[in-house]
Amino acid sequence: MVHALERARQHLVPGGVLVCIQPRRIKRPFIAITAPGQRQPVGALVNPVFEPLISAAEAAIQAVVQEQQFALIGKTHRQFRVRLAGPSELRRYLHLGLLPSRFPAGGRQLLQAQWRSRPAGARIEVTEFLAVIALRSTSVLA
Amino acid sequence: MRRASEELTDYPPPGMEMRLIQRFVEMKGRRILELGCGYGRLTREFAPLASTVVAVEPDRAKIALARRRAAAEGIDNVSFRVGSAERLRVGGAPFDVALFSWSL
Repeated sequence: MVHALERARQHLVPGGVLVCIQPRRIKRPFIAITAPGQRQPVGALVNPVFEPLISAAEAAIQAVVQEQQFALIGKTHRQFRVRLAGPSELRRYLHLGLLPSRFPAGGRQLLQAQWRSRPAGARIEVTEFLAVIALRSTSVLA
Repeated sequence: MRRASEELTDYPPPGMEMRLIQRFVEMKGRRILELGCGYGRLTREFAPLASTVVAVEPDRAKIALARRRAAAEGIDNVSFRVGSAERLRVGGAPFDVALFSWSL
């Protein structure tokens, strides 16, 4: 990943800006059941394969900043919510990515139990978290 | 809630990423390199602002789809290329902005 950042830098004008959009490392996707005026939390998803990659990406960004190849302009975080019709659509949603998140042990059963007693008009809500990190290319050669 | 015509996607709603990016850098009139453009979802948001865009993606099928979708929207300032950040070979003038869109 450091190599990818270095390669990108080679293609930037002096002082050019590099932006990374990625999942937020410390926030896992969160599942809830929602209905008008109600929100019932179910729990966070886990992704033992993908989470180390997010950490590695952040470490790579820190490394190129420490090496003074880039200077940090800023970071920002946001969340966004996706509302799904039910468990089958959630299953499809979770498999959109190459490295899908999954429920921790017992999590899917909890969702199914809560979904069986759902209020009228209920949806499954997934809250996702993203980070945007902006860096400025420096003139220092690594 | 999604309309029936909308695709199921795990990406943010349209416009959110652009608003966040433009807190840090103005995209208008810039020469932009996008690394990991996928099927060009985000590319099509910023390309109308940019002067030129080179969008790179290792998956050949996604690049083909990106080209078709951009052409369908009349976007003609993007060069879609098969490749990866680690083995990047892009000629021409250097870029003002490089963007890793969910791809680092």
